[in-house]
Amino acid sequence: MSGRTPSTVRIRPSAARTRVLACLALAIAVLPVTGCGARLFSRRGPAPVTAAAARPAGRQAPQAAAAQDPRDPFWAFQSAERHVAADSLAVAEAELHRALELDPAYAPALALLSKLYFDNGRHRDAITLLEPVRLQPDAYPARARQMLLAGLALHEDALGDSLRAREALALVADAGAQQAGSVAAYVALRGEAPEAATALAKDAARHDGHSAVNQNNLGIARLRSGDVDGARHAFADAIGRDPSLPGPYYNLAILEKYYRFDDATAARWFAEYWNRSHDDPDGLRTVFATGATPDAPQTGARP
Amino acid sequence: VVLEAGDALLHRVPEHARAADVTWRQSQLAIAHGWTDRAVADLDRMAKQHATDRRAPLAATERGEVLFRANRYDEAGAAFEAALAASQAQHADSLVRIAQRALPVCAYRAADAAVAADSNAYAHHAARFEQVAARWPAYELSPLAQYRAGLAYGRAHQPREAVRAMQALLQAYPRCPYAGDARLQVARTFEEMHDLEPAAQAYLEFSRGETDRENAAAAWLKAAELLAAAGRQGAADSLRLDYIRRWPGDVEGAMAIMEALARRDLAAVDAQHPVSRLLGPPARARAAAQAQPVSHLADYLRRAAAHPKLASRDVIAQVRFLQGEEANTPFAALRLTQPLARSVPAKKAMLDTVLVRYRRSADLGVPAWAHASAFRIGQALQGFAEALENSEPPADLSGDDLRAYRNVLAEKASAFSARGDEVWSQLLRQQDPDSTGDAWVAQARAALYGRLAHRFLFRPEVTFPLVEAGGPSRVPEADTNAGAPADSAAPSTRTARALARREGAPR
Repeated sequence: MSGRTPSTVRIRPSAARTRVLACLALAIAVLPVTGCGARLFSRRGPAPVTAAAARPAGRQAPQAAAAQDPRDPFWAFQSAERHVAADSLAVAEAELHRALELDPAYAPALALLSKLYFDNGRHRDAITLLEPVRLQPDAYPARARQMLLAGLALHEDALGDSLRAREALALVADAGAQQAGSVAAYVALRGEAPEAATALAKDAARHDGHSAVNQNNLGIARLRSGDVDGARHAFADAIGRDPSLPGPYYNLAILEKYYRFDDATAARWFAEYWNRSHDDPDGLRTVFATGATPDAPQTGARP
Repeated sequence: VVLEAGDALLHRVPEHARAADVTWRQSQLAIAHGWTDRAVADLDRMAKQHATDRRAPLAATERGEVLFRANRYDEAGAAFEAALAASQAQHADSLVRIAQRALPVCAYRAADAAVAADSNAYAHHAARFEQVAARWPAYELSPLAQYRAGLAYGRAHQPREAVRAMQALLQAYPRCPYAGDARLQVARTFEEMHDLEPAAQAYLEFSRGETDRENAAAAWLKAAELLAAAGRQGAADSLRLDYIRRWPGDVEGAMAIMEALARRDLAAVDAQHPVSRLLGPPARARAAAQAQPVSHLADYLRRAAAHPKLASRDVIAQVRFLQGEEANTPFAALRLTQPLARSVPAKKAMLDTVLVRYRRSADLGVPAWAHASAFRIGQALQGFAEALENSEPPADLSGDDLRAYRNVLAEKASAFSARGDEVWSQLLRQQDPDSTGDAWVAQARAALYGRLAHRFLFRPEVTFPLVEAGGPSRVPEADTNAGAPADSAAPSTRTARALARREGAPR
């Protein structure tokens, strides 16, 4: 059975091996090639940032507060938060750097900057940023350290280095921490041995069953273990808890089309997904005709 | 008046010289008037008190006749016994013959009357009928008496006695009209007693003696069935094959017999005994029709070809499936080695053969074999893809070149594995989604789900971990209230949500 081959390892042949590959091509020329439903080897990358959210009025204005104690990194961090909410990401990043200049180990700023990097695909920058956490974990409060290492794992995973991602997660002492557990399941689900994700996804859902994210990941784990009905239930639960979360729609589209062979329902789920995200790790876009806009599905029910 | 005068005379002078005449006269008058009891009494007195009188044997005989006419058969029988003795004593040969003929008739009628009198006393009836046959074997109704004895023993729940009586009948009167039914009764009785082999033998005897061909055929098959049930499979098979020879017109029966034998052949098929050995070498149609079939299966298939409407699609589908299995074994074992230009076409040709054979099985539409064939077709396609991916690389390839080589192979292999997936998907698509299906469907489902688990990346989601700032100059804490309402969330949580609203971002 063919494994999952990340696109990052696909290699072009050198000219020196043209002869061998020509022979190979000749050998397999006899093989009829028919269409394959889904692209097998694509991976999902970070999606572009396209929308901003209005930020509600917060606490004390950062400028005024900073004047009280300009050396407290909190104020720069708070300013960064406001700029993130206002979609001024460049300014936010600058404010976060300013906070870290004041305190290089200031975890809230590290975490938020890590996320900004993640959203922009700047994983190497993030790894550089978080490397001190890996090297000197005792310099950070325990729970903050878990969150930062979990973020580091996401960056390693995004670069396709699942081994280092798992190593980072192994440093998270309290795997039961809600978000760290969610990250562990996420990284495992994207790894080369997704069957290992089942226990992690179950643990995450057990620790925080109200999380749409956890229900979605639990659904994937169930689907991969052949529990189609259980998966469908988990995806519907995730939609019920957070209708804006795109993953469950995407996964339900796969479930209905490839596990339950209900093409119409699958197409409707995929259309719902496409309204929320254009990230397409499995190349489903080429499979589904998404021209029609389906009716909005009932929460937790089939569309 | 005459009777009273005679009675008065004999009362007064019992030893009167003409007493015999008077008694005889009285008896004849009573017979003439139909006074049975009087006649019986006078004739009895005549036979006993005047035994030396030449009319005594006749009186005894007439007494039996009077009683017989009065349907008092037991008494008539006793009267004729006495008449026989009297006649023999006086050498009255004609009367002796009359008595001898009358005795079994009386005995049979008495037994028959006993049945009429009490229809439930089966054992008693059986004994009486059997006595008739035993004592007077030459009597024309003795075979019937013996037969009725057997029936009565059966009704009396004395099966062994019933069998003994019927077997006695068959031994004494093998050609009597009741012989056939007696054999059938013996067979049924043995069968009821679960004496299977004797029952089979009895059915066989019935069949051999039966003039009705339909009954004879059914009994023959019944005998085979009983032998099989008794564990004598070989003998049963011989009988069934004999049946086909004896009743060549029963094409349907022959097909049923050969189907069972063919199925047994099929059940013994394994790697060491492939189905091709049972089918024999392929031959031209004319030669094949004349050649002796190499197995029951081959015989059956020949008959099936001649009578396609009577053919079992299940058997034929299984044969074709097993032919697929036979081709599948070397196909699966063949590794792709260098040069691939030679080994790939060879394996591909084997794959084509495998697919054609399984397809021929599936095309018959027998669910079990169609499912099995579909599973195997998918498996063969997946196997070819795997073989391609794992094929022997050129010895001088390494590093990036080897990886590039592998990538090309993987791309080609994926087309085959996708076809395999599609075959399994088609199989599952035809099933009721709420049913688990048979074992083949379950295998296909498990295999497809296993493939899908690795084929799709799916879309997992994650909540990007953020750290909440506790406030100015405060130790930061991890953000643990990601699920809290927006109006109570800390700034970092709100930030996370703002970021989460960005499309594609972790939550």
